[in-house]
Amino acid sequence: MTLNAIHWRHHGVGLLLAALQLSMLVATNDQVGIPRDESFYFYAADRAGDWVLGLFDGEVESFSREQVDRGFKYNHEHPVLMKMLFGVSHHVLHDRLELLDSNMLAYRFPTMLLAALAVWLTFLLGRMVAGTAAGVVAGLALTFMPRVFFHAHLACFDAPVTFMWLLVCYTFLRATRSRRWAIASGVAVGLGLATKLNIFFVPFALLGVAALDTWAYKRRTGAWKAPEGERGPLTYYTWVAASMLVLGLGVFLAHWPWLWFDTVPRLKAYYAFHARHEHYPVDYLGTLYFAPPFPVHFPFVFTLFSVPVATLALGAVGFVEVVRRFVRQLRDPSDPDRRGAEAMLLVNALVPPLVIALPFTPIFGGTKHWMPAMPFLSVMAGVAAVRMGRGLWRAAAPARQAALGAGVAVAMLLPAAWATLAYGPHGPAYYNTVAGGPPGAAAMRMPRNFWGYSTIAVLPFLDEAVEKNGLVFWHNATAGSVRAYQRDGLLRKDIRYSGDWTVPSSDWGVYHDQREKLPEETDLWRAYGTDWPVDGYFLDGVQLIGVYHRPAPPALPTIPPGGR
Amino acid sequence: MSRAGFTNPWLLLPLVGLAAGIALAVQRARVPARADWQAAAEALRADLQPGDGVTWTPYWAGEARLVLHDLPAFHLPDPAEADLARYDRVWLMGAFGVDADDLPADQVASVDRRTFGRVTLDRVQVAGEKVYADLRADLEAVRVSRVRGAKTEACDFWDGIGWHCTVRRSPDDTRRCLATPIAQQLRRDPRPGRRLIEPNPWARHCGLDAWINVSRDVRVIGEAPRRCVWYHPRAGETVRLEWPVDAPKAERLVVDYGFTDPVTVARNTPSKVQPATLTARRGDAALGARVIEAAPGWHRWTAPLTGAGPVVLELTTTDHRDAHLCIDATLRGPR
Repeated sequence: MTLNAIHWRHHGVGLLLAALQLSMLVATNDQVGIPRDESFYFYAADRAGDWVLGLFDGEVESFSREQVDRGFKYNHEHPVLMKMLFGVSHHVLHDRLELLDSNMLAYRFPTMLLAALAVWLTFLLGRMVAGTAAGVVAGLALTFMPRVFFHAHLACFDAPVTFMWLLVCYTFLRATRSRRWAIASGVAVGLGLATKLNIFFVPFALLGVAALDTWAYKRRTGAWKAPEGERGPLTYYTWVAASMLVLGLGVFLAHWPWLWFDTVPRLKAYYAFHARHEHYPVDYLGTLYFAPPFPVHFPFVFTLFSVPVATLALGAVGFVEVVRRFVRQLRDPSDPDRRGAEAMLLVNALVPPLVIALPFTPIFGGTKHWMPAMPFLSVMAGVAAVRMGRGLWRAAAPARQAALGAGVAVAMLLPAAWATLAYGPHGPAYYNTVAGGPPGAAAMRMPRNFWGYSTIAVLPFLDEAVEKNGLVFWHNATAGSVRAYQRDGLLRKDIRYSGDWTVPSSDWGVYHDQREKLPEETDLWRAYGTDWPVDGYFLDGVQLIGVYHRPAPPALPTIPPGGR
Repeated sequence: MSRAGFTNPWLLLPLVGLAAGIALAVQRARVPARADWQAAAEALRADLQPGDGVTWTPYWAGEARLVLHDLPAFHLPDPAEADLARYDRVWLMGAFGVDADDLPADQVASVDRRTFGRVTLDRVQVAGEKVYADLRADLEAVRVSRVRGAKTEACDFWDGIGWHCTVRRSPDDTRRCLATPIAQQLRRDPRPGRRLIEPNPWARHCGLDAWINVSRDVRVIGEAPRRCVWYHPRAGETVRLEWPVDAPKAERLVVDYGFTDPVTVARNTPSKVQPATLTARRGDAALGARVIEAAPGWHRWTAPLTGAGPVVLELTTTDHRDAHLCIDATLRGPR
């Protein structure tokens, strides 16, 4: 049995699932706040977008160093594909065509679109490996992951790079028997590198798959190369490798005008920034880590706690099933296509968390850094659904077994769907029932906030309560994010931003619960003379953000006896 | 599905899904509503007496904090490490299965429990030792001075929360500044971007030194907020506190202390904190001395209380870089 073919109707199903994801993302956009980095990317996006639009303006010398620096100097530690898309989307969909009212949504739309396309690709991969029913379960499993759902909103790079990772793997899988797809895989690597650095690891992961597949071919045929007139894995993988090297690097260098000048020093700076990345402190199982080595189990335990239980259970069973099939294929290599696909699934489900698990990897701290594994886990959930159908309805026809298995799996995913809508806008605070939900995670001292995003939950209160021209200390939320809320009418325009580290200069203050930031909450208590917030946002009773208010202008201090 | 299907191991998978769904529902059912906390707070307010303390548990159930305004509330990060000696009775609002049963048994004489929705309200009669004098509470009455050789400088400007040695403006001007609304203390940055700035760091504190003072404070030490007295040492000087006490039943001096976490916990740069020495005496009686190591954590020093008159605490160091020390000194005895 070879991999299942993809026909137009399958694209239709995949795109329906993608449309479901996209509509959910768009509908919940104004519930998802702006983390620090996203506010920087809004700013960078406008510059990158202006540069792109300048290409169509005859009076702008877009390729001059001055224009390139203007467009790309800011935030040059990340490549610019997504920033260009965010900026163009904002300019075209919001400013020019006025199709979208919300500035935030206009910046974020490219991410949402790619996140939806990731669901489509996940469906296709599931379909190829285990049939349409598996594909549907895979697509839904990915859609109903609260943390993925959260990141799929943001004008950041994590959801896009998850799509790109998947795209590289999908094109790779197709390229194992097609020269045209080899070209596509090279372009996909280039687009991935143009999205975020993570893609650097994919070719190495796929090299392992290629080596295994080629070795299995040699074991089966006794030769590395195919007979004259035929093409074996070595030929196809050579094309893929050449394409990834040439087209991948070519697309990467071509997309980033910043690298067109002072190429070597700027490439070095790009590399150095990520090689010596600062560590973000993370509270993990009761220990606040400031520097590596981080516990090797971190990404695995975190996945165990933060992926819905049904998806985990199906994914785990699917993983075992895929391993079993892969081993069987190694012993009896009757279907080389399937062996490559299964190896690819296994490798890509493991490599993203393994990279984070390495003891020398800088501490980044969030599940988003191994999010590219999630589509593969979802495909395994789909595999498990079909296998479960076969196990439960042994006498039924295969198609009916798959459909019934998928039906049960979809029913199992209903709590995940509910959790995605209920917790998704606060995805970084979502924990599954293994962890005991957000309260259980708080009791274990797991982190629950993410760099200022949760501000959005208290904007209605602040809008109502803050006096005219009131000074607010926004803690982790940046001036850019506050301005973005104001531009979209989510916050009154007269409310002011007091600045970073300016608790004493404010009358209102917010505190985003992040363990390493606790001293900043006590700064508020000290400055305002009260430890008790006047409002906040609480997920299952656990504080994500508190709002503090200086009770009144301080009275003239009385002079104690002996004082002056 | 055949009858044999009921023993089919593949049934486990949907059962796991079902169990997860039920667990989710059970989990949600344990979450208190804000009204539950409010009802508990209202109930205890009606029965509050002098000497009572109010707190909540678990610490991360932050919604409880909204109802603590105007109550003698205190933080309880870990019930097992509670120190209730300041109070005669403690009102403990609990949720998620945490309540007075999690307090140290030797500090609990009796518990009277009521329930408000998903919140329990425990009235705890406190047992064990009692605090008879509290440096933080008594701070207005404390005399603070800096001694360098034969020269003694009185730190006698009270800003409402602590004593300051250095006052850059006249005391009256400083007091007026402290009572001025924040927005009026700031000037606008002329550059675009609407940022507000102060002319210089001194202006932010109305000419008072933000570091060199002895003030009521709350600092994160040993990974938890600690209510304490900010007590910053100075190299080459002795920072002296003269604490008048009237506590005939007190038998021992208890000092909880620590340098703040941001200066002691190794982050990207090594800590610069150096040890300091704290000595205590009362009249002619030396109560003892303690070297405060430059290490993270909230530590306790206990000394028998002898002598008569004010308790004098003196702090010295050889290097005061990042010496963000905070102490909580009490005199304790049997209840």
